[in-house]
This record gives sequence, structure tokens and C-alpha cells, in this order.
Amino acid sequence: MSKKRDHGERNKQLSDALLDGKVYYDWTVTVAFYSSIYFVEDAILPKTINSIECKCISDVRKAYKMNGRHESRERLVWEHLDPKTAIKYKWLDDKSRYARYTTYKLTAAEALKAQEYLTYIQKECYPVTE
Amino acid sequence: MTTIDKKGGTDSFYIYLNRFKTEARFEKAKEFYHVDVVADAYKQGFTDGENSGKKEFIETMLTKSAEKFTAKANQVYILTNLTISYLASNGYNVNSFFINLFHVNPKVIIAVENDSLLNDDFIELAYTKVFEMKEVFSNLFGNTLDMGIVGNNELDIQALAEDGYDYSEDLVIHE
Repeated sequence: MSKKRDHGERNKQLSDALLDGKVYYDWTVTVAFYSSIYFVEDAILPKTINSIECKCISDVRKAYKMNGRHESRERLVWEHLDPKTAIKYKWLDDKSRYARYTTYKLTAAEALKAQEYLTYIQKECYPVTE
Repeated sequence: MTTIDKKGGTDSFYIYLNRFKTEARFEKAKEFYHVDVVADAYKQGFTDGENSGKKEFIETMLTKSAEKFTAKANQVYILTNLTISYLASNGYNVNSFFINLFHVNPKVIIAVENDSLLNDDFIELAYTKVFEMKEVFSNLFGNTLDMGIVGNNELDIQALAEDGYDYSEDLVIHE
């Protein structure tokens, strides 16, 4: 198992535990997003983008000539995973980034949705071969 | 027919933009100065003969920068409203939106009912549109439009303003 996948799965376990605890639903969502980052990067990279061999998100940022890792990763996911996966990733991203502007009192339904989307992303990144 | 009532609207947005037409205010937006704008202004300023100098160069650059900034700002506003109209035409309400123009990548946050962000149909429809609008902006200006969606419940307007989201409109949609 790659280091990134291992890290992503560890974060997913923490997100699961937070959900089970029924107290920190906001952190359930945020940790789910940080888990998804590892999965998508592990699934897509390395990748040649604009003739640049990209091994990490910093390389992707340079290849896209973008300013931030966040936006570079969002574009990477949109261009290299299927749209349904990219949309779920963007949902988790927005939930996490905009947490500063919203109440921390998220509902169990929101935390469950984050888990559902993370599980979807994980399965898309690591398809089971028969 | 779906109609959208706004506290604000196009006139309000133009009034907001006009507040930034002084040189001092544009200093805040200097990240929008594109290298081509500066190069064009420089070339023009030093090929127009003896009367062209530093003053003309700066004036030209500021004018072109202002034009570019305004073009970007208008496009951000148009793409935001296209997204909202599209959602409304598909039966989904938008409560408000917030724009931050003073970032190298303009930012838009669209606020919807929290329940909408649990609805898979809405999520797929809305985010597909968001990605489409981001692509339009990127193709036009070569920059990213950072557009996202947030739940409206207990939204912290103060925190949004502190982060530069200082233009907003509240919306009421009628079926």
C-alpha cells in the first residue's frame, strides 16, 4: 500500500470514529476531506501535465501555472477523474473550506453525506479488480 | 415562470464597482495587473514621441488595468447570475451570494438551503454548472474563478466580509 493511501485510510478511520462519537460532526467532514486529498493524489499522480512530469501537487501547480495547491488539486481531479467523483470531491472541499463561515453545529446527516462521498471517492480511486 | 427578486441587482453592482475607480482603490486590486497590460502600456508610452513620458505611461497603464479589472468583475457577476438563474429554472432556491473581487482569483460563494446540500440531484446539477462557469472564466482570462456553494444556516456574514467578500445580494425566488 502506498504511503498516501495509508495516510488517507488513517484519516478515514478518524473520520469514522468522529462520526461514531456523534459530537464532532464538523470535524467528521473536515477529516473526510483531508482523507480524500490523499486518495485522489495517490490515484492520479504521477501524471504528465503540459509536458511536465508531476509527482506531487507542487509540480501540478507549476504545470498549470496556478497560484495555489487547492485550486490545482481541484482542477487535477476535474480533469483526471470522472465528473461524479470530481463533484463529490468539490462538495467535501467546499464544506471544509467554508466551515469558517458556518456554524460548527453540523447535523448527523451532513456528516453521513461526507462519509458517503468519501467512500465513493475511495472506491473510484481504488477500483476492485475481479 | 420563475422570477428572482434581489436586494441589489445590476445597478447595485455597478455602484459598488465605481467605488474602486480611484487610483488608491485600485492599488488593492494590483494583483489584476496582467503583464500584457503593463507591456502594452509601456510600449505605447515610449513609442508615441517626446510628449509621452512617465505620466502618460502610468495613466495608460491605470486605464487599461481599470478596464481589465472591470471586465473581470463584470464577468464574475454575470457567471454568478447565470448559475443562480440556472438553479432557479430547475426549481432550486438560492438565498444569497457573496463576491470577493480583490484576489488574484476572484471568489464567489453561493448560499443555498442546507438541505439542498444533502440532495444528490441538486449537488450534481449545481456543481456541474459551477465547473462549467469556472471553465468559461478560465478560458476568458487565464485565471481561476473560485466558485463554491455553502449552506445558508447561521452563515457568518462578518467573517465573509473580513475575508474580502464585501459584495453580496440577498435573493427571493418566486415560482
